[in-house]
Amino acid sequence: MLPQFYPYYIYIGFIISIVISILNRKAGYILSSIFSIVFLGYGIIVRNIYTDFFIIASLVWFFSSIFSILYDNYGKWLAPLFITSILGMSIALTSNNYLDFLAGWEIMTIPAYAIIGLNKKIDYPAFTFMGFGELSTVLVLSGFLYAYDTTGTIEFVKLYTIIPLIISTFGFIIKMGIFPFFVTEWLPIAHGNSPANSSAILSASMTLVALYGIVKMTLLSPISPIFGYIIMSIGGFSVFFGALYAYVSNHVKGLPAFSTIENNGAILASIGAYMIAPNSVIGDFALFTTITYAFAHSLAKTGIFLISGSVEGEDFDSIKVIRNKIGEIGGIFLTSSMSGLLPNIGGVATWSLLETLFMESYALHSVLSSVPIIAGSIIAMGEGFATAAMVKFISYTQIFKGFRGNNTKIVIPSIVGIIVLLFGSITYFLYPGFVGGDESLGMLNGFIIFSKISSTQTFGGISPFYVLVLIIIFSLVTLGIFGKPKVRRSEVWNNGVRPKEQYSSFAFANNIRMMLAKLLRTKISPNGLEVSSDIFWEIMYFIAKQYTKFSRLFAITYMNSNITWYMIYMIIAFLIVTILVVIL
Amino acid sequence: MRIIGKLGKYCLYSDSVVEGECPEENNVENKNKPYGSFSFTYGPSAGGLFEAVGIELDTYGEYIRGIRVDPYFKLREIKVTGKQVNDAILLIERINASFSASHSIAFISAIEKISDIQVNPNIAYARILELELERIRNNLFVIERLSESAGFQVPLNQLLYLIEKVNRKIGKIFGHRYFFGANSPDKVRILDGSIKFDDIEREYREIYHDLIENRIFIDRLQGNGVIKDARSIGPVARASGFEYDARKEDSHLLYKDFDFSIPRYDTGDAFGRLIVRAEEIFESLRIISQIKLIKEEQNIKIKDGEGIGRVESPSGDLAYRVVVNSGKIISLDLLSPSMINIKSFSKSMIKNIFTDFPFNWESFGIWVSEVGVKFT
Repeated sequence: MLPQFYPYYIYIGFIISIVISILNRKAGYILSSIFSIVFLGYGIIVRNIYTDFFIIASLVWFFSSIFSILYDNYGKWLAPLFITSILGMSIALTSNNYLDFLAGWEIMTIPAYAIIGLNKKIDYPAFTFMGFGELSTVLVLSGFLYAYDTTGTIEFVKLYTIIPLIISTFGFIIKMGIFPFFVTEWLPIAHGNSPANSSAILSASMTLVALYGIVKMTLLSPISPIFGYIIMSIGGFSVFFGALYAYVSNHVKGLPAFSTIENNGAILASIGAYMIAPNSVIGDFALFTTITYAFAHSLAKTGIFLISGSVEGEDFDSIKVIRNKIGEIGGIFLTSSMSGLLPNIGGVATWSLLETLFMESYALHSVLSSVPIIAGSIIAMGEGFATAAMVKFISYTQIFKGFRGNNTKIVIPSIVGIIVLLFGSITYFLYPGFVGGDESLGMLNGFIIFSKISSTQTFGGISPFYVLVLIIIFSLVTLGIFGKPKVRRSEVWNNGVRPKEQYSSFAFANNIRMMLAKLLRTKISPNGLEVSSDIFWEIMYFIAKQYTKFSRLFAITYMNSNITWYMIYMIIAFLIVTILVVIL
Repeated sequence: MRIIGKLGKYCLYSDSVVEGECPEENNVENKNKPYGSFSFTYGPSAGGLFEAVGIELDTYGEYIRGIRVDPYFKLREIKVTGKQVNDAILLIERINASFSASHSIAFISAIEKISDIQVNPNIAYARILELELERIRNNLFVIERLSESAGFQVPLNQLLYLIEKVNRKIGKIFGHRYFFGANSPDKVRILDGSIKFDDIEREYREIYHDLIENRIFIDRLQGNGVIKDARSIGPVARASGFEYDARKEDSHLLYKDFDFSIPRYDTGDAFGRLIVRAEEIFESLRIISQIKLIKEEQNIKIKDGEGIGRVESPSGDLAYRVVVNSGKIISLDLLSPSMINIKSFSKSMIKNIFTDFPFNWESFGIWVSEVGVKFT
């Protein structure tokens, strides 16, 4: 029997927050942060694979709400819409049936359209988001209807066909901005100039709900390894392209938006790994990887979006930043987590994903075992770009540029950064059954996460806590021996001439624009250098434009109020539909 | 007829000189600053640069949109007006020690032309020996710099060793490894005329063949800094198919008495320039093998007037315009090959990338020292 959740008091809490936010937005945000904590507590108490998503989402909501108290100067409408979206997410996450999930899904999505649309500079990001959002909903709804058709109930019960999983998964991955639908993620955030707090929930928790949907449908569905391979491959491509586009993006919010695509791709690849071998040790490890990745991504990305909200401007080369030490430290933790570096939670997640893929490849011993190897290699390449993208983000928002000062907003992402660091050392709780020790190496029991091919065969191991402790010990020892570092400041040496322009953020990534010119469609003209920000969107856009052109031509030529042509069209359409119905 | 370049208030052509500016080149400098572009400074004091030269790269990062070379960071004012010809030679041969023979012989040729004398053949042959030895040494040095850019320690040191051998031989023949004091209007100082160069040819041939068989090396040169410009000179012009060479165009130095060919290539890139310079070494050695040094002096009475002396330096045409009155220098103008090569280099760098820079720069064989000169 699947667990039942009905935390009505949380829904009511968020509804009260919405009402209060209309009157006083700060009070509304305070209330929503309080109820996020209540939801967090609920998740911790009921603890299972599903409530891990509650914990992740509630942390994102909490920090975004607290940040919004300082951040929101967008007028009256942002706060109620923001909290309504959170309400929708809470309903979708705690739903026990398809109908509740869909209701929550739409309550979550519609305010997001409104936020992007109301904060408009241009119209099309909101319409594009809505278009793809509704395509996603139609697919999810179709999947759920198929499930209802086969089970006869709207409750989440075991399924005996994978078709609902396939259809709804494609619906969910559109929402997650997965290959080739990257546009769902980056367009509203970058071009729609979505506010930072909304970008955080759009990027972190909204895609988390989609992920939750996939995990839920996967756990309800029968084993489907082939679909797992497909999902894994799509995830791998998303990681590569997401990270590549993040690296070449020069937009303060566009970069993290593409990074989200990369993270979602990695999460999808781990779900694919689970689908391939669900009832095995590797499958369990893959599922825990999914949760860890979701944790790492949602928290760190929230922090990164909140940092982007503390800068003025959109372009890395022209932004104004107030810097302070704590902001730099927090930012370094966040971006190093997203770069997959230990001892952060992102480091554990990346290690865990690559271990899962390589273990699967090792254990499968078939022609198809090349798929996880190839996916793992593509992901590893993507992680390289992701690291470079994060270095660029932190360098140009917190380290190179800006002037020193006190920015209170920066405190929130800094706290998230510290949590991301500490969470790396408590990921042991996310891997029940995979934790042990090695006394010969001086590592106590409970401090190593082991990746295992079977209950007896270990593949690899990692200890984020020891890494953290060793970093601290070595730092202290160094400090104890050599004392406080002596800092010598000198004038900038610029080839013997006075300093002129600085190396720009655009230039930082231009090597890749040049090297991957064919992939990125790099065009150099006397007036500028252009790259495709998303080639898949350009193709879709081109097809849509051609289709519109064709439709117009068709309408003018054959549907120009000519009753004869209209009758012919009706008869042909009727025949095609009849044939399709008979065939299907 | 080809345009060589600006010589004082004149424009020097391969067969004449015309008062006034040289015809304008169609250089439309793109001054707009597109999104993402910025200026990146390299030099005047940076690793990899042999001399002080300021280079400002207009770039998006990696890709080079435009380049400005400023050779005037070490501008030298040289006082020559009012000096006797022989005193002036002492200064001129020190403008750029690497091209000392080219500078002093071009200057003396101008004096000879003013004085309406036909150079004594034996003196002319000795000067040709100087010029060809200077070409060999410089071309070896350019190839050495290209090897250094690639980080190839073995050919780099082999070539330095060979350059040292050439220097020592020059020193034995002319009394100074940079020909200082060897040239004057009436003679060439020769200490030992029996020095042979067979060992240089043998050793160089081996190094050269090893080097151009190296794929890593030639990959860095092929397609790098392509320029096919009728206004280029020397090895740069010859690497893009032009048969420009003062040795064939100017008859003053009696090159016509020797059998040699002008190596050419057709790619116009750094690799082409390497091949041309490398093959020139063999041709120079061929010329040297035909020279029989005989010590001789000529009587020259320096007349008043103005004259232009031109030689084919290792990097192309090098010319002096000299005005003499009562045996003293009244006015002096220099057309240095490096000035023209800097222009060619700047054109060739557009659309290249940063990492191509050192190879392309070195392939032009530019000497900044002979550009940043002002005669007073």
